Amino acid sequence: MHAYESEFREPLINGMDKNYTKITDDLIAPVERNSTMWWIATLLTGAGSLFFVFCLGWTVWFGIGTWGLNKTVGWAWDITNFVWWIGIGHAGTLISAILLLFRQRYRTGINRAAEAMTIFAVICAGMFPIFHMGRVWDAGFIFPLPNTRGPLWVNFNSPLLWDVFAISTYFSVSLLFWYSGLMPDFGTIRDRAKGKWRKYIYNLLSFGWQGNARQWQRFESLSLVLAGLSTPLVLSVHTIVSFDFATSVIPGWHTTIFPPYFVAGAIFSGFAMVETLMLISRKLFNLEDYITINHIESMNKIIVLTGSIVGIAYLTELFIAWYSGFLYEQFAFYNRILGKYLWAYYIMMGCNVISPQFYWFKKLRRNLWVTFILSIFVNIGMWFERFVIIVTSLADDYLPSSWAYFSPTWVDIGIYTGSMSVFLFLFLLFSRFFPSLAIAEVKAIFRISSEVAKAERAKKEGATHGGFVGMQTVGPLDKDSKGN
Amino acid sequence: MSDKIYWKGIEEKEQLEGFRTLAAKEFAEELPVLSSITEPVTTGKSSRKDFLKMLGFSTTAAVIAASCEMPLRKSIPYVWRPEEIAPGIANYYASTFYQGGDYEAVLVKTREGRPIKIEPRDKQNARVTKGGSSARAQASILSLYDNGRFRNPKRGKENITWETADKEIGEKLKSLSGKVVLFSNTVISPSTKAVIADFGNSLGAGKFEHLQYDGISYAGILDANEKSFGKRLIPAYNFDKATVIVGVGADFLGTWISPTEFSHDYAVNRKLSKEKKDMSRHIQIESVPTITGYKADTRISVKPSEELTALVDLYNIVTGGGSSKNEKINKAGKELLAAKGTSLVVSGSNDVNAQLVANAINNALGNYGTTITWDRPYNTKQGSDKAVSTLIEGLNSGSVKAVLFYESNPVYNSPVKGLADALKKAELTVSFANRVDETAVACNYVLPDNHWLESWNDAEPKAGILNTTQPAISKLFDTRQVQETLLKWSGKEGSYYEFLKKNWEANFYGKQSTYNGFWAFWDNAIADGEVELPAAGGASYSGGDVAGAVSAVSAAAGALGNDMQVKFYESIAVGDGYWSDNPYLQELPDPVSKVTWDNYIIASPQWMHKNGYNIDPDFKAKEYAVGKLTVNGQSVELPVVGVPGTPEGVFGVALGYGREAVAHPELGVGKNVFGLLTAKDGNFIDVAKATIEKTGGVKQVGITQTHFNITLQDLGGVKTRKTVKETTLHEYKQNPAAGNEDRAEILEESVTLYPEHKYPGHHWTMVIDLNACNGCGACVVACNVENNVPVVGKDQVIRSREMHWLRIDRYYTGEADNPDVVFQPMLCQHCDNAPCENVCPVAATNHSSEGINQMAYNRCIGTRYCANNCPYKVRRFNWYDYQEADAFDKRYGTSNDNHPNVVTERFGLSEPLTRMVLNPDVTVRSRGVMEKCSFCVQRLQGAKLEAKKENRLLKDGDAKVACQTACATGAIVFGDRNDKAAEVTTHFNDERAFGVIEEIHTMPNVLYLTQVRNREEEKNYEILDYYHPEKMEKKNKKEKV
Amino acid sequence: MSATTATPNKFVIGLWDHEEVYLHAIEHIRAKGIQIYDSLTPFPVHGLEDALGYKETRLHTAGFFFGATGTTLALSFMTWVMTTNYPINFGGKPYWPVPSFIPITFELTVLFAAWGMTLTYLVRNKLWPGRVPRIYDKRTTDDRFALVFDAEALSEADITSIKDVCKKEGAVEVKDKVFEAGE
Repeated sequence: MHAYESEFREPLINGMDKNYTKITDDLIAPVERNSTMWWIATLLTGAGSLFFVFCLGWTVWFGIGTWGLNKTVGWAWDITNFVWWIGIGHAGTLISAILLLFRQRYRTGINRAAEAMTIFAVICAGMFPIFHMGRVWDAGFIFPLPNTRGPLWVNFNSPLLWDVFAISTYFSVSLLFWYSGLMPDFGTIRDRAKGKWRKYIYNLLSFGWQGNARQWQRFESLSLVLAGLSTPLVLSVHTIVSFDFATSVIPGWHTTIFPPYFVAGAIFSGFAMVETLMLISRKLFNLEDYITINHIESMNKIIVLTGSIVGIAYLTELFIAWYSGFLYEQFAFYNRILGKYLWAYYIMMGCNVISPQFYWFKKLRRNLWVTFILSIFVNIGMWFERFVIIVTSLADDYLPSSWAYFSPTWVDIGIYTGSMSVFLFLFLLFSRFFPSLAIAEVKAIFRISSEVAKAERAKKEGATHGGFVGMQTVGPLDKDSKGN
Repeated sequence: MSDKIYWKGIEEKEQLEGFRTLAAKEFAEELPVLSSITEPVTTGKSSRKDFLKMLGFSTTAAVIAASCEMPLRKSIPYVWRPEEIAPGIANYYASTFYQGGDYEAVLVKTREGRPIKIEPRDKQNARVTKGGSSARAQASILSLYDNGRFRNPKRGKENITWETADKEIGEKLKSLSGKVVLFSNTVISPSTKAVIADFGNSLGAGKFEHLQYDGISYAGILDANEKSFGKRLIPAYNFDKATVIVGVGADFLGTWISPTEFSHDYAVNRKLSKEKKDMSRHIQIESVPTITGYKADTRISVKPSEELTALVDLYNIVTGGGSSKNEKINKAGKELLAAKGTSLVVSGSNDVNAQLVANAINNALGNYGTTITWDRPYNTKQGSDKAVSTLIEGLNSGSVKAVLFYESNPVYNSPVKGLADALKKAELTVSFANRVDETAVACNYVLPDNHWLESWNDAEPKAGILNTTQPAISKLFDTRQVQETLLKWSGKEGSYYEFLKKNWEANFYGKQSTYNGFWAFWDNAIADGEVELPAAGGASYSGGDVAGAVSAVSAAAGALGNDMQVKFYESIAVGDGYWSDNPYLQELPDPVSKVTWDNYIIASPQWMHKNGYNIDPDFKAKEYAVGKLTVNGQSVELPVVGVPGTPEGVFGVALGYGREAVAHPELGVGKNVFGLLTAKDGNFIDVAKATIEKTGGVKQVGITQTHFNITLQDLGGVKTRKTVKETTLHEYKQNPAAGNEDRAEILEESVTLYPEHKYPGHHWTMVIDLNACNGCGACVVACNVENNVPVVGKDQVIRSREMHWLRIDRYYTGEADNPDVVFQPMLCQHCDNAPCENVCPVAATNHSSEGINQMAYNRCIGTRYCANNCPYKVRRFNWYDYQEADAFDKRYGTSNDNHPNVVTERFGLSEPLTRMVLNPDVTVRSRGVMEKCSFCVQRLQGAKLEAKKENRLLKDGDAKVACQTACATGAIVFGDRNDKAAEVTTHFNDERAFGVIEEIHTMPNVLYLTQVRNREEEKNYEILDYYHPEKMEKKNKKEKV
Repeated sequence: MSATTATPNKFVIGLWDHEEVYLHAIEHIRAKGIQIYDSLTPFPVHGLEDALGYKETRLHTAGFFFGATGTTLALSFMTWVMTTNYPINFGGKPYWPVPSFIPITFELTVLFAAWGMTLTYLVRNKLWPGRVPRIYDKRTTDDRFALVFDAEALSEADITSIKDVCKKEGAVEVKDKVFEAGE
């Protein structure tokens, strides 16, 4: 039956007033309550999304020439944004899948929102490869469809084609994972629903969930296998994205270190974005008892880990460039550090390598403000990482004769900021109409990791537990074991 | 927007109908229809729509016309029998190009009766230009379809008919009290001269004068020759016979007298092979860098004043009296003496005395009769700088009452002011210009001449070498050939064609012995485009006052002072301004500075560094600091662009920019500096004392190659990239692979896991001889015309979006103050392991079985991944609908300093008229599509088809690519390397052959031959980091220590 | 589950508020040989299926076969296209570049497995948009753990005894529920 948890672990559900009823009330509250704050935010981001659409329309009407690109720099903000969003989209599945496999209970507090974030981030990411095409109306060509040209299929050697498969797979699998988890909670909302229509709609959404033992049994099995599938998937997606660069011949792109380095970076930025959003919504929807400092701290630990991995990757790149003795490679990195884009390089270094190191200090790790600011820093840094890799490498490659400089136009900027509005807009809709915490899963850990449960057990200290099965172990008393 | 497209649709529909009706009923019984095309298409109240209709109409009509000898009379195609004009098959007509003072022997390629390309004639029929071509000739095809062309005769602004014009002007000419002046640039057509003479006679004695004026003046050398030889002509220079060449400020490979010919001859003696291991020695003494100087073995960088003193010094040295302060010049002098009789000294100065000294030097060296011959002097430069002032005086004094301007634009390109006002005094001013220009605007009548592609004519570029011009298309507008007009006015019956024929029969037929029967002679003359008559005598050197000249030259040099000096030079692209309304030429990067769409002040990077001008532009926006250059009182403000090799305190500004009367405002770029030339005893001198000051302003310049820091000295002197390889002749003789030693290693190291693909059929390959290429840019324009490469305009070039499939890379090596330069034509390398092919998701680019890296435009979705992954960056993306291939918005959706509005009108070859130049064999790429060099695959397929029809294998030379045919020096060799006998195969296996960045194992099918310099002194061949001159100076010091 | 073939409409329902108590209740009730018709919980209670004596689900096995289909389909299709249907020379690579196939093969494997499994899951769990389930008690998705007994065939005596057992086993509420046929 219930796994036992060391008393020294902090609870993941705070507040002595908690019980199942209370949990349900608290978690569904955002969906049942109406808030003006929400309306304002939604309208603002809605407007931003319209501007996004306008900029895309402008691009399609006049041509890619409306961007700052040139004959030498064929990709800049478009693909930078694409990789950035995809990276952000990695946290969700990672949290739900890998943390599930590792039985990290703190995932329950954040997985739902994180998964939703994944979906929305991937939607934003998908926009860029589509609209960066010179002839977006012919986008269908990238699918291996039977046609009258020979028949001419696609080029299975092209990393860009691999992307198509990777991204679409990733998107749909994340969607399944997310939605299968949502069904029971929709059931809960349905059963509390007052209005006829509300009941009808949520029943529709819940696919008629009932919650009997059989369903739960298969539910568990499904989520376990999906987790098992998603774990390699989430790693493969950014690996394949990194192939776009790694398999090319451009100095600064042609690097075997990219796959792990990109994946680490993705988790890094993904967790940061989750934090940014969770910190806001836990305030907004008073979920402090369910998204606790404990949650934040655990994520900060992952951030400092991945941040350091990324940092090592940067240094390795530099070393290998020098060690390779290959002039062009050496120049590419010389150019990153001292070239015309050095400012970008140092922003990247500062935000990605320096800033997360603050998390070695427990105080800072558990400080909400520090966490919030750093989470934003990290995402700025990760955007610049992609910019540095893509643009500086392209701007000065092999032949000095064709070197050029990229600077964005208002359309570039509009599309990027627009995509952020789209992301927030979708997230706001989600948090208003969908349960943004996995209600069932939170309840599942209530008996294990809630303040209440711990108190109960504390009372029964020493006594043999009537019904309780499970071994009693006392973890080592040193502080470090805390929150592990 | 949408309804605009709708109307466009209608136009196209109706145009098509024009075609269909004709296609339906072809040939004989339809002949009456032709009357309607001999009718000018723009008469009456016909709208633009009708005009388009008629364009489609005349195009097809010309097919029929040519086949039934109606409007074109008897014109014999070069390769094809006329009745064989079939849709889809090109016809080539021998013709002669003589425009803006440039002569070239050409073939006109027509498709469906529409001229679409100018090709050079084969050597045996091009005795002057020797099968070479120039950027200007290549681009000139566009002037036929120029929007600036006059479409009918005009009185002031109002359109009139030819009848009215003839009547009014005829009366005026009779009633005139004063003289009539025909003002033209040098006329080289004997028959035209005859027509002019007749016209003069018809006016009566003393009533007529013909003045010739060349915008780029050669009066200095002409007058000098008159003094030393009694002939006001320019002798033939034989660069192929010279072993030691000393050029003093003469850009003979770029612009001087007959550059195409000289480039060819020069290259003959510069190419190396297993058989020929020796080459000529070329020393260039010059101030403002030119491609000639950059190609020289030794370039002596001096001030304009020192160009003059150098001549004096050389004269003293070769005549054994004295020496120069400049050691290099002493050495040059010694080398000249060592090569008596096979040496050659040329001076570009327009100062009579300087040229007198040059003649004296050549005479002292005994070069006359060997490297300089008088048997066939040039007729192409005969203008007098005094012409304009003569005309103005005549007009002001009232002795001249009527002026007729023919092929001349003195209002724009004469340093003498006040012509426009003086013209107001005349009773009759007529311009025969066929395109709008400043002089035409100042005249009260414009009687447009036919375009040369619509005309009959002849030409005698060199004495005794006669060329014919035949029409390649029925005239597009209501124009009339000048000769016809003059014949009419002088009351002659019959057409100019008849006159031409008679003239030839009378004057030339007798002089030759090859053909008997005039018709045989005439037919061959037209079919070949050229006949050679026996050489007409020579001239003997009579000295003249050399001593006087020497002191005069020294005086002139002294007058220029020792401080800042400016030199006004002719740019390869736009010449004297005649070409600045040609988009192709405006967008051709200047070989020396790589700047397009502008003129600017050339300065020394070191000087700029010291005086706080940004050497490398702010690369973000290509912004250059603007300088105010003042020459005796008059000043001009232009951006200052650094060009290595310019001595400090020397500045150069190109002539020919800043045209005011042009069809499109963007063509009027730059500033007109003709006004800044100074007159010296009647001739215009291109050098002057100058002062310059910073205005504080900046200007964006459409430069295509900027100079970033490319060496890695900061990282402990890592060896620089070997993009180009060079060596000295000395080293080459020791080891043919000198400078290219690392290649063996590279090839050894390029191993692969995969089996390599076989190319059993053809394996197309190109080899470019860096020793022969002088960067003139003819190939670039030829490629543009052949492959419908769009012109994108200044704004887009500033955004680094020029579309050229073939560009010429320029690398500096050696010292910063006087570097060596290598020109490297860079095009798609058609790698057998092409990085671009692997990454295209939709298989739009892949490898052909003949080793060509091919593009399927209609499959391309424009991800630009291929361009990113191209190590040579030769792929070009259609950022906008540059060529109206699609019904997209015709505007740019971005703004910048040149285009402050957010959306601005696009500039390109998108107007219905200019689109007539497009090559029907090559897809016009739509927006959002990637494009690049295709090895002229359409030509290869055509050649294969020919061979197949003749049931034989493809011979070497059957398939020629556009850049190769245009190249005057034969630097570009193309062919099938599976053919062991092919020229390209021998080059491919030459020890000098190398591929660019082969170390990444792309296996390019384009190889280069190392540049070899004929000199002893070694130089470090690191590509120059002149982005940091101060660093270079340090470096040089280190080396000296 | 119920022995009767036709869907029953008459039920006895016991509600618990603590999963531990609930689990023990199930063990004891089953020990008494009482048939449990269905059991509903607000979240997956660990060990519930064992307590109810359910067999392990074979869903994951299905997943494996779906995945295998994806793998073979991807590999065979790409091989056919590149070698048989339209072989093209891309950058000097061989016509059968196996390494290039790995990413897509992997992705399709995952795609097929995931979708196949989820669809099977929906079918086996009788979940689809618009399905209207029988709600025995609204709070079973909130804070109550329910046991449902088929009362169709039972006598009043048995019903009361079941109710007693439930109460004895700590049920916080025991009630009857009758659905109209077809509801």
